[in-house]
Amino acid sequence: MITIADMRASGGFRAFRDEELELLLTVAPERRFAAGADLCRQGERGLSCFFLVEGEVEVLTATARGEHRLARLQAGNIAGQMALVNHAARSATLRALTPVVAAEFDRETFERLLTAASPLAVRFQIQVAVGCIRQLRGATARLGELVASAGSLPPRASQLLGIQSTLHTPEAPYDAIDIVEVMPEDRVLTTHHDDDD
Amino acid sequence: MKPTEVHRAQLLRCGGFSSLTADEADAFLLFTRERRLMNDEYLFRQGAPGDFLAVVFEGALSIRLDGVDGEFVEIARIDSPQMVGEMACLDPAPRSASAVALCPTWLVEFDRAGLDTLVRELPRVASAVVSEAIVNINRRLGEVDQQIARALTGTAGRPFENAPFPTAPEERSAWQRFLDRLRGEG
Repeated sequence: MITIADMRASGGFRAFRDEELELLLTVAPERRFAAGADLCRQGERGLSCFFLVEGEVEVLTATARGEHRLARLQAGNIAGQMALVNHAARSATLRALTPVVAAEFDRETFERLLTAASPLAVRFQIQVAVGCIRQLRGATARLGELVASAGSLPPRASQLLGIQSTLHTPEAPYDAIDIVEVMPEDRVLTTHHDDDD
Repeated sequence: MKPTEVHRAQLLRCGGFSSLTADEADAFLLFTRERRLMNDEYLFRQGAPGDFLAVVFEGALSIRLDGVDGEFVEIARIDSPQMVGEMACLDPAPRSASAVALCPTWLVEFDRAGLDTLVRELPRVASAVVSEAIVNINRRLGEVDQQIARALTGTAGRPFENAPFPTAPEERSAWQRFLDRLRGEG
């Protein structure tokens, strides 16, 4: 059974007070996932988010080229929290990279807490808003850099697609925009250029 | 600020605030500071620290990236009733743009300390503020998404011909400074 000490030991959840974590643990059941199992899948109706207490998950998005990893999330993070404020389908898959222990917090409980005017629910909302703000700042800055040096469109296009993919993935963490993988053709072009020199 | 019926009516016109009761609207207004801006007066300046948002009751604001010698690039306009400046309130950081009144503008400011108090004391009211902010931020995420789509479908050499990306050489320098500003925001 997950305890407040377990939550604190994960190194995260600093925005929440002990009494709020205690309340959370009474309404959020423990879930265990084996390595390789999906906590939730892209396209599914999002009905809950996960407080990661132990283990590590990856955030994956499906593209025409197959699955693309946007980020890795360690214990101490919350994953899939947009499901609490957004009724759209999941925009990414969360997959366990190691055995994972998580507390699953569902939207119905969140809405009940919100109706009951719980500060915990509002702190969740703020966390979601901050995630979106950092995503927006990061995306705008990265987009700006690409626009400013818009010389060679083909390799830039793949990076733009990476940023766009992250924008469509609200479950990605705040810094996911910095973790977008560099597409292979960039490396190929760079190598080719070096060879020419 | 001591709320009046007029203030309350203006607030309840604004998106997420419309779900509040009259008493809740008044409670929010108690934590605000009323301001009336003259034409060309700044609500906040690019680069300045700030942790307040504003709800524009009447008038309009220009959101600008400031350049040298009074040069600027307008990136958005805020009409009434609308919230502005919510990013710095929810996640404090230097302002990434300036907000300037385009005409006599009436608004109320609401800061982070007020939000923290409302979260503790009146969570339903705090929730209305945050909900409205999330709607605004997600709209802007959508706008960035559209800009990326335009960049991807643009032709080589002029990939950013659609507004708001300036393409004329003289505009591009101001745009370049805007990008530098964003990069320096951290």
